[in-house]
Parts: sequence; structure tokens; C-alpha cells
Amino acid sequence: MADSETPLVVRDLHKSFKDVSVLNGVSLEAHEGDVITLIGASGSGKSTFLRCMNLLEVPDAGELIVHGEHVAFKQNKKTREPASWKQVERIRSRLAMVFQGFNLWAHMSLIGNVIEAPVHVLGVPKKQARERGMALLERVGLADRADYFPAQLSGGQQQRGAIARALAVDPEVMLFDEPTSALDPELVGDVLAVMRELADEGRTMVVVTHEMDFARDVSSQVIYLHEGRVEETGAPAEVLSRPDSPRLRQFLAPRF
Amino acid sequence: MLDFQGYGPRLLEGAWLTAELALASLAAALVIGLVVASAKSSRSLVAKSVATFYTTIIRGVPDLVMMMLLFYGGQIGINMATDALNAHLGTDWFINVNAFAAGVVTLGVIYGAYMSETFRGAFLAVDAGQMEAARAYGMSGWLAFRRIRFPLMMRHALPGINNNWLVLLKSTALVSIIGLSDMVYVADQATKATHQPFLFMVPVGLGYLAITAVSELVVLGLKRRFDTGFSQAT
Amino acid sequence: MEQWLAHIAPFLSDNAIFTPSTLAQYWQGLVRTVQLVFISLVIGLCLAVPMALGRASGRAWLNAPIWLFTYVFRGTPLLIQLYVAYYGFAFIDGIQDTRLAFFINDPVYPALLAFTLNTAAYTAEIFVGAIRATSRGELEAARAYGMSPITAYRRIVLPSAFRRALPAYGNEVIFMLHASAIASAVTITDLTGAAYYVYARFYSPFPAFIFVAVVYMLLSFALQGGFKLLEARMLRHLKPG
Repeated sequence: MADSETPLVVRDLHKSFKDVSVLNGVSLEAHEGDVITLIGASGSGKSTFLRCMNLLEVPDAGELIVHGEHVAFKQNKKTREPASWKQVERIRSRLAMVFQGFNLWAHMSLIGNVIEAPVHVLGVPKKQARERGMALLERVGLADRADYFPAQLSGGQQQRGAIARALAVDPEVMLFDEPTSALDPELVGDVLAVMRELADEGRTMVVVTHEMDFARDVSSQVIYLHEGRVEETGAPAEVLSRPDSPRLRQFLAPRF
Repeated sequence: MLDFQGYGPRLLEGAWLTAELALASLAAALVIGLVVASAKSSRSLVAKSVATFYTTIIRGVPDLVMMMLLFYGGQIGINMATDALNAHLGTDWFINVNAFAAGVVTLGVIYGAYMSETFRGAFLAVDAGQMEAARAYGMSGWLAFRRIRFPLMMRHALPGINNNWLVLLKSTALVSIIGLSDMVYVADQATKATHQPFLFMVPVGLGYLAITAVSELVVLGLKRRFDTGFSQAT
Repeated sequence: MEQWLAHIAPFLSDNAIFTPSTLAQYWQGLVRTVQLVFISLVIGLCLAVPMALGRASGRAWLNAPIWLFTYVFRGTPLLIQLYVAYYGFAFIDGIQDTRLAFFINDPVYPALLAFTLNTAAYTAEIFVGAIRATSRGELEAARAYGMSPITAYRRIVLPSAFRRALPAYGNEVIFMLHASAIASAVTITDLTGAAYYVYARFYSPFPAFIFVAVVYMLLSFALQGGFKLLEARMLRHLKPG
């Protein structure tokens, strides 16, 4: 059951774009230290599901509860929108998102990116944010790149920087949206290594990914989405090694 | 030294007025341009249509006609408004349209339309992911605008703003026709009195070139500022 | 014109401002404006082409003075240029007795002079930009096929540059139409001058100026539409598929 200790609870989410329904009632419960991976073919709704969690997309129906706090919605004629954008902003600052395309702010140095949200959203003193930000860059192996601008960094470095930016808000849940899909193959390993470390130290994470090894080794729960529904879910050993659904079996089959 | 036949101080005052008028109008045009550009990219159909109507009109009508309409019409319009108010409230107000304010409002309204086009293009040039990341980290609309969208957008907007500014600067000369004593007005008066057009018109022309030269330097500095993170790519 | 006015006069009989006489005033203003703009644009264009060629030639002694000319005319208000042309000759002693007297007796001539030089400067810079933007590859291909530099310029560079300059030149034409409104400042009764006359006579700025604004707007849109059509014809080769 969800209580105020559960970092993130999502219940029965629905979402359509125009007339195409993308999510048809999906739920998820992330407890402290859970690493939940969302897998599925493109168009299965996994990215939309993730983006609904911090309201980059507003779900048409369903509940969203962050640490016991329900997100309030109001119903307009056709669309639903959050009742209070202030609440949304507060909740977003507690969930950190790592994007497929990194989305580091191009006009700020790496350290500037890392301290931006702590200083301007959370009100952390600049000096303190900077010290902590440098420690985080150290963790992801980019301390010597602190004053570089995103355009001067490789994709892998940018994504590790983006992870440092996410850690800087000390999030209750980290949301990863296909964090390695835009990277050259030889740069994927560095990013996954950082994510493994985060999982090992007990970070609560929801990860949309195509990296099946990562899903198998790191996650506590795998959710396979198909056409906006949870087709199969459970421990990775179960779901990935002995899938019940023929569709999941086909999805996991080695491709030549 | 040139002998300005006693018009020297007034010419300087005129030059000062030109500079003040140009800068105040620039500020007005930038604010109007930003608001109108936001209206154009908003989801509200009403805001969009009003903004498009406004820029279409402004682009079709000469500056001078617009200026005469707002200046001569503005006084009468305000008189009608105050008369109506006075009739209701039994008061006896009269607002005199200040020529400087009228000039700033007119130039602001005209160049606001051109600035809005510049800003709209610049908004579109900013990668959507940048604003998405801002929202995802809980930035409010204003904070995200101030910290992310505005600095990123300015890089694309700067050349257009500079262009509009140079045209605006030259357009300030038109206020002399409606009786504001900018440097062109003073030169015109002095020429009529002394019959020495070159003595006054040439220095005033040089005055405009000087203001342009100074502004080039400022733009160069701003360009460096807003190119941060883009030009240093390895 | 008179007949046309006689036809619509009855509809205007209730109207104190737009009487046949003020409409005639507006009509003459329109004719004046169109004359001024058309003549300066045509002569300006003729001056601009050799200036652009000189600027693009790469010869400093040719480039520098033309650059200075365009810099000064683009960097200062047209109103100043108009005043210099208008007063500059009028106050020359004894000019009334020379053959140049016509020039100062009708302000249209100084206005034409200022407008022509101004549009020549802007147009020259538009063309220079377009010539410089012609790809080196096109020029090299022309040379590779044995064209002399002059032939290559005449057959390849200029046609392509003029086409590319068309949108910017369209803007310049509309800019000139709007800028011509300042002719009223030297007592020429152009469209704006007519509007000012009507305003001063009836002390009613809104009808006087809004009417003339609409006329300018229609002219601008007609020009814009004309250039769009011209571009569609001339720039077909730049459109994908």
C-alpha cells in the first residue's frame, strides 16, 4: 500500500494525443531504493509514461502521489490540467529527469548547469551549491571539465554531467528517459557504470531503456509495456528469463 | 573651431534629446516586441490574431503617418476620454500630451512590431529540449524565461535587434516634423535663420554616424556575452 | 476623375470631411507620391548596379569611395539628406538667375535627388551582398567552360545575384514608399501632405490619417503581392522539388 513513505505512486494513468490513446491505465509503485526499468517497443508508451510522472505530459486520468502528496488536477471542458502549477513545480524539483538528448543548458558551463536548479529553484546558497556540485562532478568523473560548456563535451560526458545535474537537487526519485540511446556505442558504458553505482547506493530510479543487461543486472522490477498497458511485470529474473507473454518473448528474442 | 552662430548649445541639447528618445523608444520597442512575440506563439487564438493584426498594420503604414496619427490623434483621444470622465465625475481634468512621451510611445509601438518578428524567429530557434529541462527541474514560467529562454534566444535575436535599432535611430529624426526639438529640428531652425545648411546638417549627420559607431561597440560586447557556450566548441 | 467624383459625391453628401474637394486633394497626393517613389526607384536602380559592381570588383580605389557613399547615405536619416538637398541649393547666391533655378523653385526636384541617392545606396548594398553570396563553384564552373571573366559575370553571376536580391529589393521598395512620406516636410503635397492638409482644415486627425494609412497599406500590400509573384516566377529554381 502507498503511504507517505513511498516516494512515487502512479495509479491507472491514461493519456491520449489527439485521438490516439498512448496510455490505457498503467500503474507503478516505486519504494525507497527501487530501480524500476520500463521496457517495450517504440510506441509502447514507455517514454510518455515517464514524462507523465513529472508532468511534462499531463495525464488525462489517473493518480500521481509523491511521498504521500497527491497531485491535484482540475477538469476543463476537454483537457485536464494541474490545479496548481506551484505544486507541480515543487514536485518536479523533487524528481530529477535525465533526458535522452541530455538537454544541458547550452549557455551555461557544466558547473553552472549543476548548480542552476539548487540555487534558483531550491534557494541553496551559491557557495554551498558550488561545493556540492563540484563533489558531484567528481563522482561522475568530470571535475576537470567543470568550466567547460556542453558543446565542448562528448555525448557521454554531457550525459554524465546531466546525471550530476539531476543528483544536485537531491531527488527522491530519478527519472531516466533512454539515457544511452543518443550515445555512440563506445560511450554507453561510462554512463551505465554511473547509473549502476547510483542503484547500488540505494537511489530510487525509474529507467526507460533498451539496455537489457542493465535491466537484468540492476533493476528490482521490470515493467514491459505494450500498447499503453502493462503486459508483464515482476522481478527481472522472472520477466526477462521466463516471459509468459508471447509478445515479450518476441521482443526479447535476439535479432540478427 | 566651427562657428555655430550661437546654435552650438542648442544643437548639443538636440543631440542629447535624440539619444534619449532613441534609447527610451528602444526600451519600449523591446518590451512591446517581447510581449507581442509571446502573444504570437501563445495558444490563445485571440492573442494570436490581435498580435498579427497589429504587426500587419504597422508594416503597411509609414512611420510618419503613424506618428502624426498617434500624436495629433492622441491629444484629441485623451481629451475625449477626460471629457467623458469629467462629465461623469464632475471634475475638471486635462492631460496635455507630452511631445517626448508621444514620440517614445509612437516609435515604441512601431518598432515593437518589427522587434516582435525578430523575437518570434529567435524563440523558434531555441531547442525545445532546453525549456523542457527547465520545466523538468521545477522552474516556474518566469524563472525559466529569465534564466534559460531569454539568454538562449538573445543569441539569435541580436542581429535583428541591431538592425531594427539602427532604423529606429534614424526614424527619431521624424519627431522634428511634429515639433520635438531633436537635433534635426534644431538644425532645420538654424538653417532657416542663417541660410547655412551645410554648417548644421553635416554635423548632425555625423552625430548619427557617431551614435551608430558607439552602438556597434555595445553590440559587439553583447554578442560575446550571448555567444557564451556556442563559439568555443572544440 | 471628375466624372468619377460626380458619381460618388451623392454618397458623401452627409459627410463633412470626405467631400469631393478633399478626395481630389488625396488623389493628387497619391499621384505625387507614386511619381516621386517610382522615378527615384528607377534612377536609383540604374545607379545601384554599377555601384554594386564597383564594390564587388575587389579594387580598393573603386570600392572605398562607393563604400563611403553607401555608408553615409545608409547611416544618416533620409530627412537630413532631404534637407541638405532642399536647402543646400536654395541658399546659393544668385542661383535664381541660372538655369538651375527650376531645381529650387519646385521642392519635388531636391526630394527626387535625395530619394534617388538614398535608394541607390541601399540597393547597391543589397546587390553587393547578393553578388558576394554567389557560390564560388558556379563561377569556377563558368571559367572552366572557357567563359571570360566578363562573360561569366554577365551570364552567370549577375542573373543569379539579381534573383537572390529580389526579396530584399522588394522590402526596399516598400521602405521607399513609406519613407517618401517625409516629402511633406518640404511643402510637397504628397499623400501624407494631403492628409495633414485635411487634418489641419477640419482638426480631425482620425479620419484624415486613418484614411491615408489605409491607402498606404493597400499600396504596400499590392507591392508585396507583386514581388511575391515575381519571386515565385524568378526563384523557381531555389524551391525544392
